[in-house]
Amino acid sequence: MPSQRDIKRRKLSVESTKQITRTMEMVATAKIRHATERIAAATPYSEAMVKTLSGVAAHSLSVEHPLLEEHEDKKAAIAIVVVSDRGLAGGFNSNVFRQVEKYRAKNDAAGIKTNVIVCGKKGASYFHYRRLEPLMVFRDMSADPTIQEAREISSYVRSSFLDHAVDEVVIFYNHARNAADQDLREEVILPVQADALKASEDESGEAEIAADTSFEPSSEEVLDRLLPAYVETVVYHALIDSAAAEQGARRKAMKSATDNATEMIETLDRLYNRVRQGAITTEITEIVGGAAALEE
Amino acid sequence: MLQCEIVTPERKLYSDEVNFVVIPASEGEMGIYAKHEPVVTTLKSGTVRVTEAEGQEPVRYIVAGGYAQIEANRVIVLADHAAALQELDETAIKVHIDDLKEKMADLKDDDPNRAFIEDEVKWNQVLLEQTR
Repeated sequence: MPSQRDIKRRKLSVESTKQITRTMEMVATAKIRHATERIAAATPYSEAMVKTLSGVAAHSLSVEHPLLEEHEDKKAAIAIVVVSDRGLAGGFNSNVFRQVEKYRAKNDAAGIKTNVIVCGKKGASYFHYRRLEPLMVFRDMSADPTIQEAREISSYVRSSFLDHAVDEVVIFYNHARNAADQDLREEVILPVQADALKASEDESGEAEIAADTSFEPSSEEVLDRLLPAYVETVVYHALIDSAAAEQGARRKAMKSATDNATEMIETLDRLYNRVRQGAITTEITEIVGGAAALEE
Repeated sequence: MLQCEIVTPERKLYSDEVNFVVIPASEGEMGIYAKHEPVVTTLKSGTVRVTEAEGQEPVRYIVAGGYAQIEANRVIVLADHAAALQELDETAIKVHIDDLKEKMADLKDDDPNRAFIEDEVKWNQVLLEQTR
């Protein structure tokens, strides 16, 4: 049986942990709002972009563009890994890493070399530990990703892809389904998946652009402008989506930590009371026993 | 009426019902009223002029890159960069350009940051040209 003092000390420690996790939970809740607002601000652009792009793709029936072209004989791939700078967010980062490892193993088996681009400190240390030097690393930006970050990444992968230095680019990130749940996503961004565009089109319904739309200067040149911007949009969207998901995951993790702490404090309280009562009972028995011994 | 939207990857800059819009299309400026034929055009750097109501002074937005999608009653300008003219300050832009150039001088030729900063310098130079 632990002593009263031990239990009391333990309870104090749990209480202060609870205070921290509760604060973190509230901070994350506040940040979720900011993150979702940012997604809302970026949505009009990406929606209009997907709409036009699929319209152009549907128009020029035999679309040919180096960014759409599937490379034969694949040799190298880039995985863009979007994770967080800080931990304490449950399985947020490890889920992504597991998926990336699967992808790398698959590529290794096919004789494809996989390089990584990392966004988030946790990713940098993860790959450093595994002696895989990333092509690019972005730190201290996971909570507030910028369009600059997305542009740097997309211009790098685009030029590598056009030079045939890389044959496939895939992005891994957490999608914020809602404030509490995240879905892991793995999307091929290069070559641009024209079929996927058409598919997303069907879901949104009225997106089809008018059949008699004309393109200036020409549909090829419009496409030439659109595709790079599309890649950039996909990357930017993944970054801000992941930022929202991170806060969501952290809030959820901290909420359950707080709940667990509350439960533990209750248990410790009960244990403490029982020990105290036990001590009192022992004392009384001793006194009664002592008095009885004197009488005899 | 014509619905006009100016958006960048980061935010929506403008969205309202308007009377008339002029955009800097790559083939030359285009003036758009409602019931325009549907067109998708690339843009060059320049100024979008939005006239909200007949006879009013147009509101100006500087844009660079991107494209515009025109439908019968809607114009969407998707620009790589965009800024409202009235919010700009010429001296601040000049200082910013100098900063960027300084930064660029420190970079190696193959630095991944280089392309981005060059792009940013170009955009700020566009801003400077258009504010004059």
